Amino acid sequence: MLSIDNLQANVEDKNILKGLSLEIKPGEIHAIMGPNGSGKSTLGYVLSGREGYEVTGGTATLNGDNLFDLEADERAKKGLFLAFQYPVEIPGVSNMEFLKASVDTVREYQGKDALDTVSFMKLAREKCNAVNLDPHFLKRGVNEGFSGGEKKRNEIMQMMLLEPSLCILDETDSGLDIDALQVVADGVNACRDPNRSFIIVTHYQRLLDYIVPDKVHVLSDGKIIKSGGKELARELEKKGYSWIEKA
Amino acid sequence: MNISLQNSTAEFLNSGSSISESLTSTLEDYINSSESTPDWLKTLKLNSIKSLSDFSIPSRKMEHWKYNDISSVISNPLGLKKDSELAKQPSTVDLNKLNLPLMSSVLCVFIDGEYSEGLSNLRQQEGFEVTTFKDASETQIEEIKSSLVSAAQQKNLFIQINDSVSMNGLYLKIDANKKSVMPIYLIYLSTNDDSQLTNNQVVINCNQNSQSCIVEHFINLNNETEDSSQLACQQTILELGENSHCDHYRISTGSKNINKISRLLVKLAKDSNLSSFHFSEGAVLDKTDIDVWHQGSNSESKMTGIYLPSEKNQIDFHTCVEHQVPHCNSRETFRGIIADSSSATFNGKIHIFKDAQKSDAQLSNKNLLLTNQAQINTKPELEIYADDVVCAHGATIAKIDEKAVYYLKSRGISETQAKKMLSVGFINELLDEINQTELHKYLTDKVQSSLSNLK
Ligand SMILES: Nc1ncnc2c1ncn2[C@@H]1O[C@H](COP(=O)(O)OP(=O)(O)OP(=O)(O)O)[C@@H](O)[C@H]1O
Ligand SMILES: [Mg+2]
Repeated sequence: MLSIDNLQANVEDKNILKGLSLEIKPGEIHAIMGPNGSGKSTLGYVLSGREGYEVTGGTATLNGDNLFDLEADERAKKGLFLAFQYPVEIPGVSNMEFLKASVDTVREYQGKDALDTVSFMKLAREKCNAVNLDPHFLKRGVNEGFSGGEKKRNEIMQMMLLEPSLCILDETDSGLDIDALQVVADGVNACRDPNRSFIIVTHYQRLLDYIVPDKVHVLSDGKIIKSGGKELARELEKKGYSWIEKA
Repeated sequence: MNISLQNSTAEFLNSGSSISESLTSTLEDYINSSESTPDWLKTLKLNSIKSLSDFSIPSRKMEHWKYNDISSVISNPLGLKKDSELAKQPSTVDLNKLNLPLMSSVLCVFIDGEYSEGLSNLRQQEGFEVTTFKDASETQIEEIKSSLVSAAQQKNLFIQINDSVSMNGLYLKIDANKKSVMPIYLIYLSTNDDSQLTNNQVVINCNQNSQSCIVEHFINLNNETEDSSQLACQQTILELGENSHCDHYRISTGSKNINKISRLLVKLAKDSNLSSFHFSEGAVLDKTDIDVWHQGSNSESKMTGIYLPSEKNQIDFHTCVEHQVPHCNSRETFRGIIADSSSATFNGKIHIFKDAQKSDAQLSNKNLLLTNQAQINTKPELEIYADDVVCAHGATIAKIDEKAVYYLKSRGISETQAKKMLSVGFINELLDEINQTELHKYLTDKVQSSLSNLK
């Protein structure tokens, strides 16, 4: 599914990712944990193709395609999805218009049938309900004035509509209340599929009680310094990161 | 026969100089030689020509012309058609081919400034009067005269020339208490392909307690020349009687190879209510002066504007809202998306007179620059002589939000489409203020096609 080899990347000429390698097989869930500023969000941005995030070495392929040859929108069409740590507010563009444009292009690219407006609205409302977001959020500007938790649920709703093959969730659990956390976890679990993989960036073991990962990695100073099973998250929760960083 | 303004227009290059005797006498001859103009109108015009001496030739040193490139107007001689020629205009225009909205409303059509009875259609509606100035009755003449005389301005030479030489015009009167449902659609067509000066004046009187919808639409049909020196001048005077409501639109579309200099003056009597929507796609120069005079207490005005210049176009709005009396309320919201190497100027003035206590005036102007070459000059001006007023104004200039572009791209939307969505999003809420469904659709489509060339 996803294969990252010795990835190095700069932001504003500052080296952030310093040789990161990661292999994810179809259907797997990988959790990435690590201290603030270690490069977790940077990894998501680099993989999804944000401008200003310069790859200086290494490779990344998604289902065989070299990601760095593709524009951000092409990567999305090929099934990469990033749920943002800080979703962007876009006043004036309605959530519905945005979702329709997005789903239309992605489906067209993937050779799926186009959805007419009525069936799309039906589907969008369904997904809203699935993440416990009132359907009238569809009429509002994209993320405009949404609370932190509403923004995160809006991200998960987009993920459900786009049916991507690789989902990167960047701290989707931060700022969620306990019920919303359950809703988001249920959403992710409902999306689990032998052909869909997840990278879940989180600071908290709690989310991983609901979404059980196949692997847990520790990212520190731009590199993966330790990998393990789900029990590693529990250990980190107890001991912090310093014991690994020192080792 | 064409009367050339060349000798005088050449002087436009000499900044700040005053109007030459030769221009004045050329125009006087032009008026005097007209066979079909009634005497009262000639007298009015000759008086207006006298006022030309109060004007200076526009120059970049003057606030009103600071950001305008009028070289294409002044580098060529401008022709003025005799009124006998104007009347003979062939009406080869087929309105049905223009895909216009509101075609089942009352239609008043002008070709190159001249009212075309053939293309117009008054739909035998009751409750209003329409007449050309030439055919006006005694009462109507008095009303027209008083409107024109009280509309005098000192800022814009071209508007004054328009007032001096436009031999004809249209007078529209909405009867008192008339709650007209059918919009009145004024279509100003430009068809000239040579260097002509065209002129037009419209006086609209909405009498007390009336309700009306007036749509003014400027369309340039001439696609022939790349850069035309054609100049279309126009002035509309809209008078709102006591407790009258007017839903007004003034839009410019069509090919952009024209210079247009126009003015809208609205006078609001007690308890009257104006909503005025403006839209321009741009032209070589599209310059609009808007004067809104609150002359009766408790009158309310709401002005909304969208401008979308592209290529090398220029759009200029000079608006001036005067609160002449207490207890009036004005709201003004203009937004522009400036593409390519085009430029836009927005000058919004709020003038609160000394006794106009409890005035509430708000002005907002927001601009989106799509390229590094695009230019915007925005300047809110406040002149406040009363102390108990609420007055707010603000202007912003922004570029496309790259974070938002990335967010949309990360969802599969192409860069071009993302920029287009964000641009439309910038003006969407203003478009939504259009109450006429057909017009809303028409302008939404115009916006889409205007923005379809985004890179
Ligand atoms: N535009 C930028 N200019 C300079 N430095 C940047 C820029 N963007 C990110 N960085 C730096 O890159 C480093 C990694 O940031 P990143 O957002 O990837 O961390 P993170 O692991 O996601 O942290 P957190 O857990 O707080 O979300 C940080 O030191 C950050 O300050
Ligand atoms: Mg982060």
